[in-house]
Amino acid sequence: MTGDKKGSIHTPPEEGKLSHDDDPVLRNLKAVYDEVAAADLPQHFLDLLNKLDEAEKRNG
Amino acid sequence: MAEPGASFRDGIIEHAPSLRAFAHTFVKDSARAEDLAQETLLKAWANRERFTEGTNLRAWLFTILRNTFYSEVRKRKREVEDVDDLLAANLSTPAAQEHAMAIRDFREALAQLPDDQREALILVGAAGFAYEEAATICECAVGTIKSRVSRARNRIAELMGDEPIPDSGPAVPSRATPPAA
Repeated sequence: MTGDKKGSIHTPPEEGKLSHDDDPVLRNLKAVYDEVAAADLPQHFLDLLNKLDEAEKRNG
Repeated sequence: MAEPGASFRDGIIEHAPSLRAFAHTFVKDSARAEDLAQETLLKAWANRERFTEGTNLRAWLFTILRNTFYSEVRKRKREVEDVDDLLAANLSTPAAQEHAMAIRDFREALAQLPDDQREALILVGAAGFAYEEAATICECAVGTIKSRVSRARNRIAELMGDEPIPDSGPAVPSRATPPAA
């Protein structure tokens, strides 16, 4: 018996976190999530932040 | 004292991509997801005095996003249909279409989960929060998060026609584990 498949090769997941190894559900989930996470922030988002920032400065 | 406003703003910009990613994974309708992310940003800004500098800004922001979502759900109890089919149809190559179909099926399955299971799965499985952090964000016990994540994974696997995934961690109510080969 060799135990788990790649136990000696890959580093174990950080404690308290989920491992993504060999799990199609988590791979799909990451693909969906990362597509948005990797995208540039939309301009309206940045505009909004800038407006808030300016309003802040005006009001001291 | 350095400008607290500026560092708070920088913090928001740093975490905005993952907030948007969570919103778009959690909510199927993309316009609604974008609104949710933006609303979170506004609320975070308006309540920034309530954030304690040096504590976990990312978790705080996700908590706001979550609360925003649930208060919106309470306000308008209605289902919103999605535009995923259109997105999939717009991709041209067969490989891209196949990939898009797989992703669409996955999103379909994800959307069928109860909100509490879906949020737990995304927080832990995609946003990279530890179980403990997710439990804080969702205001529940760590064991509850673990069990929700586990149920969510198994349910999606079932919906997508895969074998249920055996539980790997402790403290998760386990299904019958298949005998070793």
